Amino acid sequence: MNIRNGLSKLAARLRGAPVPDDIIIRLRWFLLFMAILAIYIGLQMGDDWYVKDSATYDWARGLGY
Amino acid sequence: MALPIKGITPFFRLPVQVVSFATHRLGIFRKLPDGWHAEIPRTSAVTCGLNCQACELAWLGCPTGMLQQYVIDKRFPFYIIGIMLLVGVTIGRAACGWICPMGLILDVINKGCKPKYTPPEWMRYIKYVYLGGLVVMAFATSLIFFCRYLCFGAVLGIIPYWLTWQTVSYTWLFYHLGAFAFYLTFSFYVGGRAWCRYFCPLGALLSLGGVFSMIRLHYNWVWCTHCDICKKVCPMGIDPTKTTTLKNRLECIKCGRCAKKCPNKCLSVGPAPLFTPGKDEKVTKRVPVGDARPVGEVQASNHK
Repeated sequence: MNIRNGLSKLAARLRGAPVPDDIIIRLRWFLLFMAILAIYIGLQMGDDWYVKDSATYDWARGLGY
Repeated sequence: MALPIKGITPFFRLPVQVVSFATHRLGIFRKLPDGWHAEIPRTSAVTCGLNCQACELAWLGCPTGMLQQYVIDKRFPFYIIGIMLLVGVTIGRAACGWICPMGLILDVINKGCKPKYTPPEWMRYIKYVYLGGLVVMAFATSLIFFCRYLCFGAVLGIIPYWLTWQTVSYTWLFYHLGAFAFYLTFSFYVGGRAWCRYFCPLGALLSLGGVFSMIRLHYNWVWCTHCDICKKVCPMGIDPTKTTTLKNRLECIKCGRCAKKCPNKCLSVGPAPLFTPGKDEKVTKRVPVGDARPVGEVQASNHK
């Protein structure tokens, strides 16, 4: 019970804590670069934007409907 | 020095949502009876909203469905993670408030909701459990488990699919309609976007990148009379005035309802500082913004 209370208090404190804009700005550009890199790698590994196998009406049948 | 308000009060969200919904449903032109039949490709390009790929009318994939497909195929989802991170870092959860097709449906439903119950805060973590469970269950069962059993968004897909092909069994149809009814009942008592707040795994995915979003709420504390209208109208159940907290950065969908309802125009949705907070950003926390009036004067004008 104490652990649960402690965790919920910690979570509440973290969620209520202000996040400094300096940190956000620095990480934002890094994450943006990582996002573009991930998309580039994804597209290099396959034509993921247009995969006919999973892009037909059979998609729904694949769900078991 | 007086500074201008950063951002705008978004009155044009509904038209944007409608256009987004229609764009996601462009596949409807495949089903035109006789005559002209448009070649709308069914791509696996993902959108940033719940848009069931199973739907006859969809031409863009849902990231949650695609993510599960990647896990089942034992491939690392670089593409999905990249797209979600890109959307998260640029517009963040504004995608939920402005673009998501399910968001429009929820907003319409919420018009009739009468909130009577506030769920405990820990329920907000359910969406992260959903997100983790989605990956684990897809890996364990080799099924698109989440969409098949738990997804609210499947309603968007299964009804048009059933209407056009009628190959869906009644069991699945009524199962999904039942799940939809459950969420509607929950929303009726909780109000706001209960699905987005507590359950949506896509919202969870977007919120992780959304902490760094280039769009944010701006709060002018000088004009604020602490009437708390913004808190009451917020569909995500957060305090919009605490703009810099982690909770707001994770949860705010930038729908601008708080900005629209604020009698003193203290809140607005606009771009976040992109490079350094700089002097202006720091100054706004200390000095009145725009043609700010003293709090007493604003209160007096409200009582006229």
